[in-house]
Order: sequence, then structure tokens, then C-alpha cells
Amino acid sequence: MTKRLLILILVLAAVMSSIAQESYRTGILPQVNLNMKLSDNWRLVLRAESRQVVASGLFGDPFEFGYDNNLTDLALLTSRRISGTQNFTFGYQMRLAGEKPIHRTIQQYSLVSVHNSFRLGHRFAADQTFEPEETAEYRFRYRISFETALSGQSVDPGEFYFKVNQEQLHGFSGGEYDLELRLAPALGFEFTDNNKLEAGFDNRFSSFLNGSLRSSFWLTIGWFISI
Amino acid sequence: MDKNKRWSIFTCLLLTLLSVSLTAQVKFEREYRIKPVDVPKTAVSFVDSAFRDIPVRWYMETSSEGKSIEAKLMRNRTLYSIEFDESGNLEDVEFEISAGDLPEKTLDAIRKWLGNRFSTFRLMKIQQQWTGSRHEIYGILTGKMDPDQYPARYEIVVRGKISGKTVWYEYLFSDSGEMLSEIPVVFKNTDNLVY
Repeated sequence: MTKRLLILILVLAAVMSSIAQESYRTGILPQVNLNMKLSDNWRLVLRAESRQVVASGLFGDPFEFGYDNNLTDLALLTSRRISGTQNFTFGYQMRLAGEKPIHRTIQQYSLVSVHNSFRLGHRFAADQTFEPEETAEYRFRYRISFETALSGQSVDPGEFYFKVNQEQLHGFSGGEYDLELRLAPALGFEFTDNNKLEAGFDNRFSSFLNGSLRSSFWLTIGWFISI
Repeated sequence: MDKNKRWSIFTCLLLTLLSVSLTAQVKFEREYRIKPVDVPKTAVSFVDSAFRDIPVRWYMETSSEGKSIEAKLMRNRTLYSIEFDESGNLEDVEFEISAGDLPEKTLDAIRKWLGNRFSTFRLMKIQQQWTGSRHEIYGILTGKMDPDQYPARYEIVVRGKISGKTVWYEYLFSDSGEMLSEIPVVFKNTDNLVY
């Protein structure tokens, strides 16, 4: 399984580098996930993510810095555990990116499988985005996450770990379809089982089906806290 | 100050406040890779002679209950774990098996016991376990003793339903199917794989 995932990552990286043309954006994506226990099976998740663009332009043009506090996402999710390793989650996200907020509803099913030296997370999600004076967008997403300890066979408090997410997003809006691919390797540190910090890169590629590739490269900092 | 800037500052403040206020309790339990030179010679020589020419990974496990040393290796596509105490004394040998590898009578007794405990259940992982003297275990591992003549125990992870609620337990059964211990499985936090 590990080998297959590595091959997938290498193939994706090769494909992406070969078509890496046209527009790009790069910047920082800090994120906080606060997970609160409501009962044995119900949880409340507060998620805040900010997107800070530090440069954007066209590939081939001279690189120019230009800071832009692009957007902030605030999400309130409710999660129902249906077994030790499976969850149903649904909720609402508000995007603050201009004069008027953008609304998004989210539904997801997730499953985590635990192996001898790694864990795999599968996330199947759908979301619906409603923006004033714009056509609604409907997306269907699948994300696979691989996590392995950098010391020992499982991640313990005080240890580093490696994680990589690969996600595909199928978007439909106004009769048009677009596919976005994301690849996000990260280095994580576990302070405790309920307190983890991750830093890495989130590489996103979209609009390549209609020949006008849009790429974005983010430095990610994610904090996962559970109380 | 525009709206985005305000939210940005809010996010930063939230991060800072949480970092200050978060003083989670830590249950000290850690497992990490160690080099063969850091393992007591008696443990290394046991594993090297029982599993000749097979690569071995050594781990140290520390917890509030003490330290133990574990060797992990693959033989004939089966994962073996050989556990020693800190001085290198053999504690047990475990290896993964499938339900079909269990003696029929043992499996029947285990299923019957679990059938009374859960409305429905599934065996998720089974490990055969041998405990005993170093000499006996060495004999079994090297084929000098018939393993069927030696009492085994079975560590089984079960997912089941009790009163409609899905629960996970780790059991230890004797080779006659008697339940020796029952421990609820506590899953590690999966937030960073789910959200």
C-alpha cells in the first residue's frame, strides 16, 4: 500500500510538473481545527482557515511579490461517530472574501483504517457553494490521507510524523464541469493525542481540462486540537 | 480595517489563546525504534538464532508501567512480535493468524462466548500468543517442538454491537476458548485525517 501511494504521488508530481504553465498563486494557509466532544458519539468542530496570498501571476513572467489577505473560512461542523473509525459530518462554512459572505454547506463520510505502521484516512464529501449574484457550485470530493510515524510504528506524544493528502474535487457549476487535484505533504508533531501541529505544502491544480491550468502552491500550517 | 483583515486578526488571536490555554494531560506511553546494539545481548541472540537471516526491527516501549523491548520481523509473510523485558528476558511471542487457523473447538468456544456478549460481532484481528520458557518457545519457533502440543493464547480484536451501539474490545482467550481478559479499544485521535 505504501509503495502504491508513493508511486501515485510521483506520477501526480510528474504530470503536474509537465503541465505547470499559465497562472499561479502562492502564499500561506494557516488553519485551526477545534474539536469539542458533545457526547460519546457527537462532536462539534470549529474550523478557521485564512488564505494569505504573497505572490500571483503567470508562469514565465517575472516573479513579483504582492501581499493580499485573500479570504477567511469559518466552519461549524457536527460529527456523528458511527463506529470507532467511521464518522458522518455535516455543517456550514462562511467564506469572507469580499463585501458579502459566501455560504457553503458540507456533508462528509470518513473512514480511517489502522495498519501496523501507518494509518489511512478516506474522506468522501460533498459541498454546495452559494455566492450572491453567482451560479451555485456543487462539488464532490474524495481525499485519501496517509500518515506514518517517523519513529517507531505508531505516532506517540513528542514524536514527529509524516502525512500526505491527495484529493480530487469534481465541481459542477452552471452546466460546466471542472476537476481539481490537490497534493499536500506535511510534517506533523504530536504534542499529545489531542494536540497536533502540521506544516507542509498544499499544491492545487485546476482548470487543466479546458486548457487554462491554474496552479496554487501554499505553505500550510494546521493545528488540530480536541477538547 | 476591512472585514478580511479583522477575521485574520481574529484567527491569529484564537491561535494564540489556544496555545496558551491548552495544557492537555499526557499519558506517558511511547514506542520508538532502537538499534540492535542497544538491545540486551540475550534478546538479540534469541531472535537471531530462532529467526536466522531474517531482518529484524527493534523497538523500545516505555510507559508508566515500565519498559519493554520488542522485535518485529516477517517470516513466511507472517508478522512476528517477540517481546522481552528490559533485561532481555523473553515475555511472549505473537504472530497474526486468520480465524481459519484457530483450532475448530477453540473457535467455536470463542464464537459462543462472543455471541452471548454481543448482538452481532466481527473478529477484526487475531494474534496467536505463546508464553513460556525461553527453551520451549525456541523449540517451537525452530520446529524442534510441535506447536500443536503447546498451549497457545489468542489475542483478538472484536468489533461488536451491544444495545445497538458499536464497540471495540481486545480479548485474550485461552486455547480452550476461555476468556482471560477484556479491554476496550481506545482509538487514537483521527481529526487530522478526517477534517
